[in-house]
Amino acid sequence: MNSVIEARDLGKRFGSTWALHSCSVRIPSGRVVALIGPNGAGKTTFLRLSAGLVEPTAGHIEVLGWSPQAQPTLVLPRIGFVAQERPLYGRFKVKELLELGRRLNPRWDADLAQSRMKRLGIPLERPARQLSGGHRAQVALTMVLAKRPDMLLLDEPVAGLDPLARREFLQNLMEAVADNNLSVVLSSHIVSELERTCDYLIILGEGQIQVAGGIDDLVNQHRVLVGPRAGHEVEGDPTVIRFSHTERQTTLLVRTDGRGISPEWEVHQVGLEDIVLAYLSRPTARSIPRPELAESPAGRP
Amino acid sequence: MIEFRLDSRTGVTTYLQLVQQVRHALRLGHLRPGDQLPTVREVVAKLAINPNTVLKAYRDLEREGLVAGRPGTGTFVRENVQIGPRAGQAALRSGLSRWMQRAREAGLDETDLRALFEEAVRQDAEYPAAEAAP
Amino acid sequence: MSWVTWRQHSREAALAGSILALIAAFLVFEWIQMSSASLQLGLGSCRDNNAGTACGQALNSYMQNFFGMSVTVRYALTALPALLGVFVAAPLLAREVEQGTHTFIWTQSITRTRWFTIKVGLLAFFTVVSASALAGAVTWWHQPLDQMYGNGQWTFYEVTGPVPIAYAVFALALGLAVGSVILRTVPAMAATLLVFVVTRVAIQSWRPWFLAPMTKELPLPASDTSLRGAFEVSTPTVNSLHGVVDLVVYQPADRFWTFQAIETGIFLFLALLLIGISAWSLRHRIH
Repeated sequence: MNSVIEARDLGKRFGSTWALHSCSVRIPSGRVVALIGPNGAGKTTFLRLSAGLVEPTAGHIEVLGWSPQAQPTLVLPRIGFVAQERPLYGRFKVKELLELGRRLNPRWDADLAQSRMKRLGIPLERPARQLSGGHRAQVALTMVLAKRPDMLLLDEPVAGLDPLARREFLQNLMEAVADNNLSVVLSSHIVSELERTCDYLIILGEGQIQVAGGIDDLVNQHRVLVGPRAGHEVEGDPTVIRFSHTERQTTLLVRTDGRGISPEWEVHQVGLEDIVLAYLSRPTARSIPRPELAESPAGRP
Repeated sequence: MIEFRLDSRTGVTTYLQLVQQVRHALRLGHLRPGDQLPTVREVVAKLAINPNTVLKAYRDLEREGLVAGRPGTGTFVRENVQIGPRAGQAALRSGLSRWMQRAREAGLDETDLRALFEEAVRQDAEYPAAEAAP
Repeated sequence: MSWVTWRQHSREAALAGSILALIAAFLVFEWIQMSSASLQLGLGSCRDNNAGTACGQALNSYMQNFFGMSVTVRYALTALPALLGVFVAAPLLAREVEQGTHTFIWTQSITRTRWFTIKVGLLAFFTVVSASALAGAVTWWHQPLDQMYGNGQWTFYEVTGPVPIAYAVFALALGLAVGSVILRTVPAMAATLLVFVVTRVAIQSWRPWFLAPMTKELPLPASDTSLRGAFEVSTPTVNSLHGVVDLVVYQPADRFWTFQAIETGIFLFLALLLIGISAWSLRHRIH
């Protein structure tokens, strides 16, 4: 199967607010997907829709080829979901949580779970609520990895962890991805970390998908142009994601592959973080797979 | 065995850093023909980077003829790999020295030199003068 | 899933078991006390309340000893279903959602329907078994007390037979439904208590009129014992053709089980509706 998640015109309304609307994306398998957006942009809703915890108000979503709401018995054993607060049954000892996993999941790998706990030095007899933040996150990760899923859905998995715990978590996660060819969708605020772990990016702004594409492609398809002060017409151009002017200079972040740009513009590569920030600051900007390589303003003679 | 590190400040992308470190290690003799490169899993578990990045780096190195992957065993440095300076490198080096001398005579300082050079490298990457298929 | 349910609620189960055991022990103890007192006082088949007779005096002495206790026990037993609904059923869904653990347990490979079915099934089983055992124990326990009460079996209507079992099932279903709609533990508990009390009081008020009551005129002064064991609805003093009489409006003793069946039916029907509400909430409201 080619795509792990396919959303068509997906929308979810809570009361009178649309948390997500008109979302269409096809996430290819084998990727580590960064889901980025400000608070309230719809990241958690998207992940919950994918896990079947919420039903769509509009549109469709298919996970690994099935509907998570209509066919949960086909989807649930193949995915692992960890919510932002990493909830566990606090009164259960770690070994009892593993037992829970074993009883409720058909593909449970008890050896993997045990060896992970041992390797990480997490005591099996301790109640979950007495674990440190880092250990809780590792237990939550173990609970989903031992299911032997095809895909992980992680809502801000390293939020609130100290730098060491964060690094260890990501090391473990990447190792599991390498071992099992896992697909992962993880939401986060920290762009710099996502750059090394993720190879696909989805930017959510005000409930809609602004950007969806491979990170390498995105970086290759955006440039910063610096040139003499330009007129207002550049601001309206759909390929201009961000602009700023000083008295004599204009700086643009543009969706372009760099070809056909007038010589008065200096062309620079852009880092992922700047691209993300530019789109976040402009919720109406879009760059969906195979963006139209529209003529950039600098291309006009 | 080579140990990879990542420098997040250089602005060089991750996979390129890995490629460069392998080349560098070969030149210095830290890596010898027949040596095994760390497995994708090992690199990823240490650096917390995407496995595809490592795969890409190893593929590039394979295309350059520096390493070869043996399915089921790992990635190894090729036996006939050329270590040390490449052929023609001495000539390139002296050409560069002459260019720098001319630039200095024209009044450029080190920062100007670097800016000019980097601009040229960038333009060449985007509009390669001689199209050599990778 | 049954293991998970057990492990999750083991403390509550232990507490409930202890309470039931205590009640059972108390009932046994009191039964022994009452039986031996009855024997000592030579009550036999003495029914006459008349303070003048030896029988009447013995009965009064007996009543002084045990009346208060029997009332306390009746009230305590009446409260049990409410405790079940408020402390066990209401938090069941509400706490999972409030603490966010529903995103954990419902993304294990078990569907939320199956989770709910097994959890509630086990809980319902435990409830019905305990309630039945308790009702049976109470039936046995109140035998020596029947002598004290003019309306006999009707006194213990709410704590014997199928009725208390229906109360317990209703309380369970109510707690689940309220918890599934309110989704916050403490408000759900409070709302469950309120609705439970209101419903019980409402049905209790309606109870005398389940079937059209019978009437009988009793000439004053009332010393007729023909209505022993009946449930008196009201006894106004009226002027009838036969002079001033007590007009007893009552439900006769032989209607006891019919009334039990009716009330059981009402509460089980309500319970069914409430389970339906929970199921709907589970599917559509909770996210």
